[in-house]
Amino acid sequence: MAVQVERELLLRCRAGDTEAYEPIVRAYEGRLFGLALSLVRNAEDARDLVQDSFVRAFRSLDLYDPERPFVAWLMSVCRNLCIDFLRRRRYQRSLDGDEEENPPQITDPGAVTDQATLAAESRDLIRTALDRLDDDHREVIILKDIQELEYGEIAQILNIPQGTVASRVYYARRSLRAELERMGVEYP
Amino acid sequence: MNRTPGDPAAVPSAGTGGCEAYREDLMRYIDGELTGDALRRLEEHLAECTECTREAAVFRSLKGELQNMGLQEPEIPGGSVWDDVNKSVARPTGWMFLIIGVVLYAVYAVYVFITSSIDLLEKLAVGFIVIGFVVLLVTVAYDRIVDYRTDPYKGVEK
Repeated sequence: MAVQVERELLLRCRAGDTEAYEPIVRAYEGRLFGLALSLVRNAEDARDLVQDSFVRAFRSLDLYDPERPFVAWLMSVCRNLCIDFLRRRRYQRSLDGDEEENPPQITDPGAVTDQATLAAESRDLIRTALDRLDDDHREVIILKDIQELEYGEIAQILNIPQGTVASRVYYARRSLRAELERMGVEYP
Repeated sequence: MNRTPGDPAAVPSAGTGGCEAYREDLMRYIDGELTGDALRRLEEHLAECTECTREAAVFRSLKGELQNMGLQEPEIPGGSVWDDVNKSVARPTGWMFLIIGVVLYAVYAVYVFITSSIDLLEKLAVGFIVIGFVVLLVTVAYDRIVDYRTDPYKGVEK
């Protein structure tokens, strides 16, 4: 969506025009869903969180700084809702005495040695490896390598300096690589 | 590591080791966000450091695999969220009109009641009943709101 068009739509939204919000929702719902799904790993929960993100963003448009990318602000709203959701879910599980609902599957180390097999299974392997990362590392990998946001946008979403983002990306990628190597993936 | 990206004073010269100082710039390089002198210095370092070159290749490969997983915009179950969002954002407007209408009607009703020809005693009796009912309604609603806000388990699903 062109920046100028987006600004005009947002101005109408601020004036209470809900119809002007439709093109914005349709333009960004896919990306928000991708982010929410990566974080909470449940499609129904992710859908609810995306919906809630758009509603909260609409009601808080006065807080949005028009000089900054709207999508980054929107994603920060969604990310915060996902984190709150995950905290509540963990608290509930701690009350129930449950561990992870869907524990990552352990892949037999050494099972993946052939290059063709590696290519076929790489998606599942990476998903499993991502699941095993710390929340901070998984989150930054999702924002940088999956959502393909710029460092400045990620810094805005996470509310940390750009240098910290780059440093966190480094350690996250290194952790992901280490997890994949533990699962039998070999790098040259 | 707290240094300004591309700060020459903080970056050791290429070939003298100290790969840690290049980590942040290496990430920006892989992600296409490194420019100017910082880019030149990193390229000089990479030309002499096989470890960083190898690490960059591995991270590029990982990045490519992550981007090819199709996770950026997966299909939303049940389709677009717009209809649900629209219901939620449009609802307050409906409430606002409803409340304005009720208040206007109440003011008019009070005016008609006060200016009517019925006895003063009857007016007082009806007035006290209405006021008492409103006070009870407001206090019950207030208690429920306070209970909800202080409920430590409100976020926990049953």
